[in-house]
Order: sequence, then C-alpha cells, then structure tokens
Amino acid sequence: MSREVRKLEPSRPSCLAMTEAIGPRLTIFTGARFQLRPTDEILRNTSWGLLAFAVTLAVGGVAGSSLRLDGYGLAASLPPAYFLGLICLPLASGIQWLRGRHASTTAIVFHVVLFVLIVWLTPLLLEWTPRFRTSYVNFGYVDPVLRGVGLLPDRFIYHNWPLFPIVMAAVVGATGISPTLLMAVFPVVMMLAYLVPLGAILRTIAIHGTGAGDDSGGVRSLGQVAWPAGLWLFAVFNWTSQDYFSPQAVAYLFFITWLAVLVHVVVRRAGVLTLATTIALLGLFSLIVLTHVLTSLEVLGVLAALTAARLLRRPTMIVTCGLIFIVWQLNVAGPFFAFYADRLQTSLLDISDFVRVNLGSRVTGSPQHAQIAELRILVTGILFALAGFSVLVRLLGSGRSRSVMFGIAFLFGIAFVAPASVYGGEMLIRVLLFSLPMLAGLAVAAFGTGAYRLLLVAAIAVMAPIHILTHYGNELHDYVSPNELAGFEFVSSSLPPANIFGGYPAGNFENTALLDARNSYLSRGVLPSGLEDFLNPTLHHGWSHKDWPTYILLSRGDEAAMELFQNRPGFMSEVKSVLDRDPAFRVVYANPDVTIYSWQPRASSSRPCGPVECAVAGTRSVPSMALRR
Amino acid sequence: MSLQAVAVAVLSFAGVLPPHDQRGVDAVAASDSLWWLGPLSLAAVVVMVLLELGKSLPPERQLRRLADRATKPLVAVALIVVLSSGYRLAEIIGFVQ
Repeated sequence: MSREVRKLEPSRPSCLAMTEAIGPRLTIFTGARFQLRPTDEILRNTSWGLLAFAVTLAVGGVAGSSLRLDGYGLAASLPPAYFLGLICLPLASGIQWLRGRHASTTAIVFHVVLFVLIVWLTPLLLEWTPRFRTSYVNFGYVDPVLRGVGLLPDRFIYHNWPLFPIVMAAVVGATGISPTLLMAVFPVVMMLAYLVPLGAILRTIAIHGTGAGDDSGGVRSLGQVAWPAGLWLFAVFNWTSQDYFSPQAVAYLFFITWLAVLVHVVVRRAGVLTLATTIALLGLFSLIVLTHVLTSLEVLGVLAALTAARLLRRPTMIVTCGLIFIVWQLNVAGPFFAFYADRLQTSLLDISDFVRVNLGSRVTGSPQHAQIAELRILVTGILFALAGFSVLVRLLGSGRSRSVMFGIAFLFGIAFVAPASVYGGEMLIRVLLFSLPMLAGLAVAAFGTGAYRLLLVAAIAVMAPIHILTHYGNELHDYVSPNELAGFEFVSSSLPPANIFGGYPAGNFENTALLDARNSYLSRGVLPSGLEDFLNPTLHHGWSHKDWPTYILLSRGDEAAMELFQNRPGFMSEVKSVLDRDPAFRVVYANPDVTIYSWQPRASSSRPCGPVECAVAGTRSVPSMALRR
Repeated sequence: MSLQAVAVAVLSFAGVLPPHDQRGVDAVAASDSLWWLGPLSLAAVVVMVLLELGKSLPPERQLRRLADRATKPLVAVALIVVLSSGYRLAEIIGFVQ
C-alpha cells in the first residue's frame, strides 16, 4: 500500500501525505482491520465549513451591533459572536495546514483577506465616518494643493516631502471622490495592498527558511504552504493603525515593495544586483524620500545593516541612497529642520525625555487607556518572542540560512534607526511597524516543526479577537462623529480666515491655507491645557496671523482625548460652563458634539508669548505630528 | 544659483509652488563657504545613479568595466557631498554652531 500511495504524490491527496503531515496522533480510530483517518477531503471541507461559520458570526455580529464606545474603544459595541467568528477564521486556516503539503495557500490567503475586510471595515460600518483624526489633518495637507494654493512647506510639514499631497490631490481632482469617502476607504485599501508585496517577502523567506532545495523539486514542501501564516501574523499583530490616510501609509507600501525586491536579491540572488533590481531599489527609495523622512531613514538603516553583514554585495548602494536622502533633506526639506530644530535637539540629546516620551508617557491617562497601552506592549512582545523562538528552533534544527540571517540583520537595521523616531513618542509604533514584515517572516521560519506550528496557529487564533482591543482601543477618541464633521464643515466654509483653538482637527482639515489651528489637548507641548488656555488662547501660543479673529472650539473628540490621555473626564464640561458665562465668548455654532465660540479679547488679556513659549507651542501645524494613540 | 533656487523655479513654473513661495530660503540658504554644495549635490546624485546602473551590467560590458574603475573616486566625491550636507544640516538644526 505504501508504494502505491507514493506514486500518487504529489498529483493528488493521499493517506500517506496526511500521515507525513500530521503524524499518527490525529488518527480518529485505529482498528485491527482498518484505520480511519481524517481524509484530505474531510479536512478541506471542514475548513470551508468553519470559514462560512466564522464569516456568518462576524458579519452577523456587525449587522446586529450599534456604536457603543468606552475606555476600551470599540469592543463594547460588538457581540461575543463577532469575536468567536474572528477566532474561527484562523482556525479555518489551521485546518488547512492539517492537510500538510496539500494545504491550499489560496484558501488561507482568502481567510486573511476576509479577516482584514471584516476587521478593517467594522468601524466604518458602525461609525459611517472616517476614523482616526490625523487622517483629517493629512487631508489638510492635500487641501491647499487641491485648491490651487500650491505647496507651503513653511506652514505644512509634509509639504517638505510632497509626494503624498500631490498624488492625493491628483486622485481627488481626477476622480471627484469626496474627501471623507477617500479617507474612509483608504485604510482597508492600503492594508490589502500591503499584503501583495508582503506575500512575496514571506514566500521567499518561508521557502528558503523551512527547507533546503525546495525550489528545485516538484514536490510541494511545507515551506510552500507556510508563508500565509506570516500574512496572518501581520494582520492580527498590526495594531498600529498606520494605514490611515497619511504619507507614512503610502511610504510604507513603497517600503514593503522595496523590501520584497531586496529579499529577492539577498536570499535568491546571493546579494547580487541586476539592472532591473537596481532600478527598482533606487526608484522605490526615491519615492520614499519624496514621501516620508522617517521611512527613508529606516531604509538607510536596513541597507547599512545588510551591507555591514555582507548580505548585499553592493556597498555603493548605501552611499547613493544616503546621497539622495541628504540632498533632499538639505535642499528641499530645509524649512522643516530649521523650524523643528529645537524639538530635534531635545529629542535626540535628552535621553530622559526620549525614554519618557516614547515609553513612560504611553502608559498613562485613564486606567482603561493605560491597560490598552500595556496590552499593546504585551502583544508586541509576544510577536517578538514568537519570532525569536522560531529563529532559535530553526538555527538549532537546520543551522543558518540566508533568509534567517537577512531577517536578523534587517531587525538590527530597524533598531539602529529607531531612536530617530523623534516626534510624538512614536518609537514603539515605528519599531513594530517596520519590523512586522520580517518578524512575520522569521516567525514562520520554524513552521516545519509540528509543535511550533500548533503554537503559531493558537497564537493567531487568540490574538485575532484581541486585535479589536489593540487596534481600536482608543476609538473613543479616534471616532469622529457626524456632528463633529458638521462642525468642521462650518469652520472651513463659514468662518473668515481665522485662528482656531481646539476642536481638533477642525481647523486642520479643509481650507487649511486660511485657517491656523492649535490642538487644545496638546496645547503646550507636553503640558496639558488648563482653563487659562481656553480663556486666553494667545497665552501660550504664537499665532502666525495675529490680526485674524480667534475662535474656541469644544468638541466631543477633545473631551475624549482629555478623558483617555489625561484622565480628566470632566474637564471640558467645566471649560464649557465657564465660557458660556464669560461675555468675551459668544457662541457662533453649536450642535451636541461641537460648540464654537468667537473670542473678543479684553485689552489686558492678550499678551504675546515669549520666545520659549512660542517655540514650544509652534507657529505651524506641528502638533499634528505629535498625536497620542 | 543654489539647487534650491533651481528647484523653486522649476516647481513654480510647473504650477506646483505658488510664485510667492520662498520655501524657507532664509533657513537653508547655503553659507558662502558651501556655495558649491548645491550644484555639486545635484551632479553627484546623477553620477552616482549612473554608476549604480553601470555596476549592474554584466561584467563583460565595457560600461561595467568603466563603472568599476570609476567607483572609488566617485564614491569619494559622494561622501564629501554627504558629509558636507550633513554638516550643513547639523548647522541648521543647531547641533553645530
């Protein structure tokens, strides 16, 4: 019988294939005369059945839900059936892997895509508005280009790396898509786009990291069905929300595509570049330089590490890329560095401030917010542990492989550049985001080991529902209500050129060339706002246009931010009651989520800020880079 | 004329920049001692990209051999530009007085 079955491989499923894949322990029944094993057909059908069950639960769960936000974000809005559905989705993939070498990678990729569609569309289906406030700020960089004002790099930081605003303005201009629709669909489109180059990266690493000589034979190896596990890891462990409407989201797509080319060069071509791969690497790097400064720094870090490790056999590549980078930063992005000099000096040279901003201050605010932050750190640690354990198993089992060495060098490169994540204390987010593709690749390196495979599937299944907490844990703040949108619309279309204090990101969204705005919950750099900041918005802020009228905005989002990030749940109500009684403030617009006051300063209340205060408060839209998540 | 002035002129002509935009000229105007940095930077980028393309050709091609021979002097020039630009950027940020 054994000989007969071997003849069938790999053209169609066989009992022997199952035996090899799952071992004898999965035997359902062992009798004296025959053995009944779960056939490949049964496993395949079970996987599809579980998938249908999972999708029904998740989609039905969303359909029967209504928006209910609390300190843990979106989780309270969703029923247990939804979370059960999320658990069942990776389990459907797990059953596919039980088929061993006959597992359908197409089906598993389909599972991941369904997970992404369900999870990434859930907030949109519940909220019906684009989430994540910084998305609106980033449209504020597109808006001047769209209105024909042009690029204003001394006012808008991302106009120093202008590819994103120019391309998005072209998209809006060419298609007529509304800003809100564009921002709403952007994250899910980007996330799905990431999966394409990521699949190429993972496939290369998994095949070359889980078996020797797999490419040469016709027999499908376990490595060839392992790589979608990396897609799963990328989806469930990616809580960073960095796929929102932003330059870095587009730069990240360039980055993963660049990485896919690099992995191909290093792992498949022994680090030797061809004309096509050289053009691809230089072209993608140039696009990254035009889009996002930090991403290009990460690329340089990776290139330096790979060159030092002699995995990339073109030392001049790091020189050329470094040259392109520095020439752009000095000659075109100079206004940013001139303006941001103080902050850069503080962040890079003050170690205690660096640690506080990047680590300590992330786990503060309301008890729920602190718990979400701790959960994110824990989840990130689990992914690093999985990748580390996998590498250890792989190295002990089969020795070094080029793909594993590439992964380790890559992570060193990312870690080397991490301290440059100066703004907003986003180092943890950046490190995780840029490490994710390689962590996912390394974590599947030991996929050939049965016990580890089980651990990996279990980890993905457990993390799938937890993802709702880590990804949408700040939804109380990230949600922008329709009433807030109406307030933004009033600001952009009905106010004269004005200074806007609060209501973030009202004054940063549309008509931004004629509005100057300050974020009231980050009013003085790292210091929280006090009542005096609202009573006199010039107290700690240097407004560029002192002749423009000043308006105070109180919004639902500001209240949520005060509650989540500063644990001051009643503060905005207190502010509102004071402003309502003060004759210097007159309500010009109000709905349940937004109140807009015009401010008539008393003769004695308006004093210009000192040089230090002005430097801290800023005169441009820098607060948009310093958002808490 | 600095590289920045060229870039502003081109982008303004293309309609990307408004005509009045000075792009922070005050902030990044090269000091007198580094007047050569702008034009040299642009030339160095072009040459280094050509060098990379040349080094990607098959070894038997004449352009490849030329690129290999020119590597060391061109990299030396590129490093001078990188270091000078880095110094200028450090000046702007305030790391170097």
